Amino acid sequence: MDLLLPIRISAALAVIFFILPDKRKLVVPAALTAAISLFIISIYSLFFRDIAMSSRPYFMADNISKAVYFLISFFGAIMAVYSSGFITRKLNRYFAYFFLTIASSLGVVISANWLIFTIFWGISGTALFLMIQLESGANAAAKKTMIILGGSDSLLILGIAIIYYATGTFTIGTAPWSGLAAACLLAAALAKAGGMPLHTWIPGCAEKAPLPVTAFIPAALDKILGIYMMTRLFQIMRFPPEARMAVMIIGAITIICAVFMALKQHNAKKLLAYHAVSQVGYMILGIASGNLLGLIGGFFHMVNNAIYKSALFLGTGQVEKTTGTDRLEKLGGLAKLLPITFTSMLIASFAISGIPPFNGFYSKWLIYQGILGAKTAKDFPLLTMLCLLAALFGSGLTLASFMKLLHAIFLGSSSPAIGRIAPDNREKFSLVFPQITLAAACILLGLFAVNIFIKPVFGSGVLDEIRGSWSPGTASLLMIAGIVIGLLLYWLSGAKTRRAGSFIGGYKVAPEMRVSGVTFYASIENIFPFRQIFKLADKKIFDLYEMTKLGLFYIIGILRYFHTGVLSNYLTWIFAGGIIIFLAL
Amino acid sequence: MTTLFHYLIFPGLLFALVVGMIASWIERKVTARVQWRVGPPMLQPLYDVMKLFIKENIVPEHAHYLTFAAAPLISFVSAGLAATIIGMSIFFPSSGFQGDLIVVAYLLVIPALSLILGAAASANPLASLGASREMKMVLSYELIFWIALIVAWIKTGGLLNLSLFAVNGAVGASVSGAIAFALMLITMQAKLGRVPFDAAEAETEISGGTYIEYSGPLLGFFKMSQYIMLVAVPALVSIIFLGGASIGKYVILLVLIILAENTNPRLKITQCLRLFWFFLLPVGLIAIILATLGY
Repeated sequence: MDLLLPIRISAALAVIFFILPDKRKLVVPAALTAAISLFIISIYSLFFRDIAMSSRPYFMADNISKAVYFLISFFGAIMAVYSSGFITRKLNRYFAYFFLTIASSLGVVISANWLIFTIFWGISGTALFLMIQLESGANAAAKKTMIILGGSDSLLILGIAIIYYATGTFTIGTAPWSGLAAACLLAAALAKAGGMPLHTWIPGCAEKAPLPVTAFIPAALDKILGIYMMTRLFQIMRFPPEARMAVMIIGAITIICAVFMALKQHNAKKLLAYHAVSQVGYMILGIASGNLLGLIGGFFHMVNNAIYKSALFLGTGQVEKTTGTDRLEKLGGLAKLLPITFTSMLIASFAISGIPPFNGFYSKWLIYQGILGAKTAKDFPLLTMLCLLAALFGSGLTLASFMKLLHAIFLGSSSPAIGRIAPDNREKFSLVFPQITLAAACILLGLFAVNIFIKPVFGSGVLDEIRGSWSPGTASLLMIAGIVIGLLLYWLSGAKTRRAGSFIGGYKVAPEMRVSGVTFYASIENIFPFRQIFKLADKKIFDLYEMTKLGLFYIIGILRYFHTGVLSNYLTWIFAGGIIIFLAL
Repeated sequence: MTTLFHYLIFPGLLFALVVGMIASWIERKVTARVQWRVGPPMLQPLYDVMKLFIKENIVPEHAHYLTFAAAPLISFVSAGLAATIIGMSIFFPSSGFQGDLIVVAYLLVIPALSLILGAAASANPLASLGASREMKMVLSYELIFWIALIVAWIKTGGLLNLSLFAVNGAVGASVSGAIAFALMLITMQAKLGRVPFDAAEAETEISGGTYIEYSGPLLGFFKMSQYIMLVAVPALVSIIFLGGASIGKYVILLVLIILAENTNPRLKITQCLRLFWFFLLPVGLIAIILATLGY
C-alpha cells in the first residue's frame, strides 16, 4: 500500500461512477462510502506506512508533497459530503468527474517527472471543464476555462521542453536559470491558481458552474496545485532578483485589482471568486520573496485559503439553496434562519481578512515578515516596500468586502424579497457538516499553526529564525478570560434586558428605509478614477481572454470578406494567385 | 498566571482603562476650557461607565441578539490585548516577540470591526449607514497607517519588535520620518474616531450611527474600549516615531488630538476618502521614496 494506491482507486471509481445509472438512492451512498474510505486509505498510506517512494523512479513524496496530498484527500471527503446534499442532477457523471479530479490532483503532487506531472495536470484541467459544463447554461464559462487552462498547459509543455533541452532529463530537479522556461511554467501555475492576468476564468466559472465545483476546484484544488507548482519552481530554479521582483509585482497587482473588483460585486459567488483571485497574490508574494518565512507563509496561506475560501463558497451555497438567489440585494437578515452557516461564514470571513487569532492572520503575519526580509529588498527597496503596502492594504479591503457580504446576507433587516422559507430548505446535515469542519479547521490552524502545520511540514528548525513567536493560543486564552470577566461584570451589574423597536429619531421604520450591504461602497465606486476604471472593467477591457478573442475575431472578420461563397470570385483569386506565382518564377 | 495578571491588571485592561479615563477627563476638561466652560470633575468618566452599568439594556426587536451583544465585549477584550502588548513593550522590554507590531496593528482594527458588526446586527437603517461609513473610514486611514509604518520600517531596517524601537532612536527625526509622523497623527485622529473624522457617529446627522441602538452595559463596554484605545493608539505612535513612550510624549500627543478635535468641523465620508487616498497617499509615497533614498 503506497501513495499510488489512492490514485488508482479514485481513477477506478471515476470509471465505475461513469457507468452507474443516475439513481440518487444508489449514487449518493456509494459516493459517500467511496470518498470517505478513500480519505482513510490516503491517511493510512501517508502516516502509517513508511513507504520508500524512492524505489519508484517517477514519483516522490517529500513533506511538501505529503502535506498537499493530505489536503487534497481531506477536501475530497468534505466536498463529497456537501455535493451529495447539493447536486440534484446527473449525479453519476458528477461523481465520475469528481473522482477523476481527485486522482489527477493527487498524481500531480507526487510526480517526480515532468511528463507525468503534465499528464496529470492536463487531466485535472479537463475534469474541471467537464464538471463546469454539467450545469445547463455554463457552456461559455466552461469553454473559457478550458481555453485559458489548456492554453497555459501548452506553455507548460514549452517550459518543460526548455528545461529538458538544458538538463537532458525530465526528472523534476535543479535546473539552470532560464527566463523563458520560468515565464512559461509560471504562466501555467498562475493560470491554474488564478493570478492576474490569467484569472478571468474564475469569476465566470463561479457564476455559472455548480457551486460545489467552484468550492472544490477553483477555490481549493487549483490553488493548491498552482501554488504547489510555483513552490517547486522556486525550489528548482535560482531566480535572479529582477525576476523575483517581477513576480512579486504580479502578486501585488493581483491583490489590489482583484479586491477592488470584489468590492463592487452584487453577486455573492462573483464576490468570492474575485477574492479567490486576490488571495493568490499573497501566496505569490510570500513564495517569490525568497525568504524562508515568506515561503512558509505563502505555502501556509495556500492551505488556509483553500479552507476558508471553500467554507465561504459552501455557506453561499447553503444561502442559495435556502433562498433560491445569490443576488446580494435580495438577501438580508438571514442570521437567525441559518445560524450555523452564519457562524461558519463569520469565522471564515475573519480568517480571510486576517483577524487574529484565525489562521489567515498567521500566514499573513509570516508573509509580511517574509517581504520585509525579501531577497529583492536590497536591489529594489522601493518596489519591495510597495508590494508590502499592497499586501497590507489589500487585507483592509478584503475585510471591507466581507463586511459588505455579511451585512447583505445575514445582518441588517430582513429582505422583503425572501418569502417564507420551507422547513426542508433550512440547514441540512450534509450541507452544514462540511462548513462546521472547515470553520473548525480555520480556528485550529490559527491557534496551533506551529504544531499542526509548520513543524510537521518544514521541520522544527525553521522556527529558530523567529525569536519568540506570536502565540495565538495564549492570546485567545487571554481574550476568553477577558470575556469571562466582562460577563461577570455584566452579571454583577444586574442590568435587565428589554426588546424594543428600532430607534431612528422618532420616525417609524419603513421597508423602503432598508439599507442593504450592497450599497456600502457606492461612494467609493462613484469617485473619480474608480468610476471610470470600473466602467472599463465592465466592458472587459482588462480581460486578456476577451481582448485576445476580440483581436482574433477582428482578423477573422477581415478574412471573411474573401469567403463570399461566390464561386467565380474564388476562381478569380485562383487565377490571380497563379499569375503571381508564374511571374515570380 | 503572570501573563493573566499582565493582561487583566497591569499593563493590560485595568491599567489602560484607568489611564484612558484620566485621558478622557483631560480631553473633556480641555474641550470645556476651549469653549469657556468649567468642565466635569476628574471622576466623571468613571461615573459615566458606572451609570451605564446600572441602566437597562435595550435590544432592538429584529436584531441578531448574539452578534449584537458579543460585539462590545470582543471590542473591549481585543483593545485590552493590544494595550497589553504595547504596555509590555514599554514596561518589560525583554518580553516582546518578533512581529508584535503587526499583531498590535491588526488587533487595533478589531474594535472598529466589532462596532461595524454590532451595528449591522441591530437591523437599524441608521446603524447600517454608520457601519458603512465606519468601514470606509477604516479603509481610508488604513492605507496611510501602513504607509507611515513602512517608512518606519525602511528607516529602521525592518524592525518588527516594538521594544526595539526605543533602542533605535526616534524615527520622526529624519525628513521622511517627520512626514510619516505627520501622516500618522492624522491617522491616529481617524483611528480614534475623533472630529473631524467622526462621520460614522455624526450625532447631529444620523444620531450616533453605529452606536444608535446601544444602551446600558453594552454601550459601557464600547465606552471602555474607547478609553483603552485612547491610551493604546497614541502610545503606539509614540513608540514608533518618538523613540519610546513616556508620560510627556503621551500628553503632547493627547493635546494634539484634543486641539484638532476642537478646531475642525466634521468631514463628509467622501471627503475623508479623498483626503486620505488622493491627497495624503502621494505625500506618503514621497515619504517612502525619500526614506529609500536615505533621507
